[in-house]
Amino acid sequence: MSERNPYLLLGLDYGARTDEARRGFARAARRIRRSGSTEVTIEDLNWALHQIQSQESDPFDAVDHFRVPANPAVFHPGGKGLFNPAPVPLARRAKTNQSDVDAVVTAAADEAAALLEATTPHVISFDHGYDVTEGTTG
Amino acid sequence: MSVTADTGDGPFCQNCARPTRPDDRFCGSCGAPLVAPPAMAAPDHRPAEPIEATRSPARPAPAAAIEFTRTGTTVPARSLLTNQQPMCVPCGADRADAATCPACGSARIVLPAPATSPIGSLHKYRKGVRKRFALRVDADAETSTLLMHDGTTSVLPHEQLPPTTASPLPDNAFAGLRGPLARLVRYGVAVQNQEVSLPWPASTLIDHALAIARDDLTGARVLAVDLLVLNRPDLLDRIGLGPHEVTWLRLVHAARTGDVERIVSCAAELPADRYRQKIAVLATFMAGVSTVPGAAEQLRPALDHYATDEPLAGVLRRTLGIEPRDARQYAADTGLYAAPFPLPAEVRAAVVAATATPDEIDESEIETAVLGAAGRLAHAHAHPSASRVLLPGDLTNAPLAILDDLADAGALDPDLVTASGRDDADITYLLGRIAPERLSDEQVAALGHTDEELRRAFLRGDHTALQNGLESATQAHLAALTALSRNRPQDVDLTRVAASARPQAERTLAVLRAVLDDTDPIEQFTEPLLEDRTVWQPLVTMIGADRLDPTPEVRGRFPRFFEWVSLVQAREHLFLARWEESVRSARDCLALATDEAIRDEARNLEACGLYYLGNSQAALQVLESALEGDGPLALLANAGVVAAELAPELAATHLARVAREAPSLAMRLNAARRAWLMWQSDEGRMWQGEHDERQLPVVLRAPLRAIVTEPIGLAEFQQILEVLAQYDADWLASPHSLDSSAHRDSLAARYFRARAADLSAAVGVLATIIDWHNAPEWIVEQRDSLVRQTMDVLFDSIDDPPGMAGAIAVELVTRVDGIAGRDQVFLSLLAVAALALRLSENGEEVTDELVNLLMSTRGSVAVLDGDDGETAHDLLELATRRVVLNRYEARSRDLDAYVEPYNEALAFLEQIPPGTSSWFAARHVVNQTIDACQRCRAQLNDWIPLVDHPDVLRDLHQFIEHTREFEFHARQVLGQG
Repeated sequence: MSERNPYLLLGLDYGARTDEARRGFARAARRIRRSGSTEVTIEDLNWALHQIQSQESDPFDAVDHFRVPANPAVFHPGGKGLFNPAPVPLARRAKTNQSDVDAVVTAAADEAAALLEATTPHVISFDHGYDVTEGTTG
Repeated sequence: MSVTADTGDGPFCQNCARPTRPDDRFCGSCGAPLVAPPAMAAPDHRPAEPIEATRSPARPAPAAAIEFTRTGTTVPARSLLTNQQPMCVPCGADRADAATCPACGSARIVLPAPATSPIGSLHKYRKGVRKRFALRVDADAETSTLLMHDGTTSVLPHEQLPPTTASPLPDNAFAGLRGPLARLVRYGVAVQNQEVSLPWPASTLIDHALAIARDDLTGARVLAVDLLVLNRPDLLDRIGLGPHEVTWLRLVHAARTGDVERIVSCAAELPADRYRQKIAVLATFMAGVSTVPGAAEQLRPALDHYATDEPLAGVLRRTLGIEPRDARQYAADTGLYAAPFPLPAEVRAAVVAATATPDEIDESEIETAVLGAAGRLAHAHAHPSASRVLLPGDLTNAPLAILDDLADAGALDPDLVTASGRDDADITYLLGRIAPERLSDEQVAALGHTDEELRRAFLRGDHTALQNGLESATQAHLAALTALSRNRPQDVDLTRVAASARPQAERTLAVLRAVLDDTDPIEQFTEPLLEDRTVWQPLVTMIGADRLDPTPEVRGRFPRFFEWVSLVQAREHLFLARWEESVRSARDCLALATDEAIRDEARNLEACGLYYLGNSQAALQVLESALEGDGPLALLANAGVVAAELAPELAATHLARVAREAPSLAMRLNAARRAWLMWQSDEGRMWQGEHDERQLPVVLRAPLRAIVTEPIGLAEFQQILEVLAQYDADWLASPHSLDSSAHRDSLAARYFRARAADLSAAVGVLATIIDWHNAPEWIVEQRDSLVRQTMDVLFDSIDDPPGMAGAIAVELVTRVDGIAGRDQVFLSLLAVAALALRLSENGEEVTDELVNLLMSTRGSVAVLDGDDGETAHDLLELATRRVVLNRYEARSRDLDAYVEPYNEALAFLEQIPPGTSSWFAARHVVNQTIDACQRCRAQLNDWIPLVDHPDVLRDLHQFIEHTREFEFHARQVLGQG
């Protein structure tokens, strides 16, 4: 190994937080026990946990450790389905009364009436009612 | 000319629709002249370019609506009626096409066409010595009647008429008038308004016209029409017309001027069952009419009469409150009212959108540009599929139940809700209704949305919260899924899983049972199961990534799933430091994957394995192939990490790319810092510039120059400047390099810019620091480093020191405070030794200041002990020797300068008689030589005790002896021997 990587040792996504690191420690310990790994030891895990817990700056601003994964989203297949159920909309709590509808209809009719009030006098001409002979005579 | 209008928002210009003040004569925005609002003048129907209504106002836009009317034409008021028959003007009965009125027997009235007439011509005749006006007020075939200036009339044959004179009125003063009598009225009005000065009072002129009109009913009606044009309906009852006819004409005039009070009074004055067209007039001004006090009572008889066959009369009755109506009827009336008017398409569409029921319109054709908030809300409520018209403000005052209706219809957008002006509680509730996932946990709890709380508990694996949740269908469903994901098939009750999810749950359960029964779980895989990507991770957890090793056939059947499994396996191997296995799994993934994101990640994992296997070259190649696409930034950072194991220049190149492209300043800074450390690869040496012209590569220079002016901390700023001062000095020293940095006036900026320019300037900045105890650590290090490196250079080249080094050393010890005592001693002695040597080589004499420095340092040498003491002693001897030799050579040069004049003086003294001026001059030269010898001896004698070197001491003694001999001979020449 060119350089020990605390996130890989604990089986965490690069940049994982301290609380995740603690949980990761337990998982990683189980993993090495189950797999019988000799490459990684509990001492390695202790060192890795300490590294993450003592880190002061944002690891995503650093460029000193290999980042795994580069794109965490690919490990979390998206979409809704059996194990990611869609949210259930809240049941409605307000009953629509006729007065609610009337309020909306009346306000809309008021707006329409305002438009008409502004418009109608401009599209009508007012004749005197007499028939007229067009043109001029000498 | 424009028209002001007032629709309740204050008057506005009809030309540009901008607000105006009531007393404005011209529009302040467009400059168009303004005339009175409709109450004072007829509407302007001129065609004009339509305006484009691009915004959707909170309130309807009457101004825009009026603009739309300018693109159309007008229609007669009677076209609004169901019965559009001609009307008998004298009695108001419907006349149809009958030649005579069936009610009053009046013949059909046809006004003659406008005719040219001599009436109204102005003449001038001589009366005494003055010329006087006369106005032709009547004419027949042979004679004309003139109104003379004194008010009398005179009938004259046409040929005896005095000559005409030009009218004092403008050319267009009679425009629009049909008959000649109106000209007399027009002159009367002009006199009344003091437009012109004529010899007759207005009443004389008007009375003449009205008197003539009374004699001819047709002429009277022609004049009546003209009186409307002249805005003089008050004269109508003086021309012999019947009272109803006069009232009707006044109603027409009131309509033309928009005078709603007179419209109401005239309409009420007319017989209730006659003059049907008054309904059209009243309808046109319905909104205004409804505001006139008592209008309902006054108009009720007429409206009642026409209500059965004129729908607008019915609308007027309900609008005036004669007949009650509800909101639906109001909306229906508004639509009914609008129907006969030739409205602009935009206005009609808006009215229809606001008032029509869903089955009345084709919503795809609805135009809502001039609709207000209430109109849009009503439209969206009635037509949920048209909810795109809604704006955030439309929701602000809407009844919550109406928004619930929109939510139920899927017509409520969460972004719209969030941006609306409703209170937090409403927004939380509405989001809960349409997008619960947008709520915070606290909001979900406050809302009491238990289903969403349970769902969230399930997603975060909080089984306790799920178990403790209220029993519900959702809780039972999620509990079953939890049992599945926790490998507890005995707790999975499929009957409690939602029906839509049951097939997937059943198949997942079959996989779990196969795992527990130790049969092949992969045999339970089906396409529908694995199309649901949310089961992938639970399946891997159930089976174990290491046990998912399918045959090529199965792998090919479910390629998307198994490419992802390979990715997971590769990562698992990395967690166990099994680098070779991780590389293999990543390559398995690459063999299947087509999705670029998956392939990029597979390459990343492969590169990681290769990197930890020590094959950084191959790792970098893999990462570079991933970087060819639009991969995540982490690939770039990893390339930098891997490249660090290769040549520093290559590492710097990759890190420099991160420094350019990273999303955060901190990451760019870190990358840049690492990049320059890689590139620098060994500790910078202050004096390497003389032998090593290394400059920052362009790829590194550009990001450093960019970052140094960004809002970074002072410490980072100082670090970058240190690099730039060393490797990009020309740029840093340029006048405006740091202008945009917040630290441009800091000590770091001053010091490193000076250092980039030259070392002497840098020493100058160091010399400005007085309190070194409180100085930043870095500047102390810079000072000490400069001192150390200067000493190193002088030590290393003690017999051939660089030209500047000695001078810098002198400046350091004489101008900069805080240098350690030992360093001061060494620097001083090295400076003296170096400069004395250089000066001697150049044939120049050491300055007294340099000698003083040497002398002042001598006492300090004794303070040093051990190796430092020995070294200092040696340096003191060297410096002293070099100064003595320099001074010895300088005096030797002095004395040599006297030899030739001395010899010439001796020759003179032998040849010329004593007492002459030349004799005295020669003796003076000899005296000067004696003085020079004494000066040389006096100066060099002081150095003899200080010189340890035997050869130098011998030379010094010999030279002193030489000066004695020289002086002795000189004194003999002068007779002093």
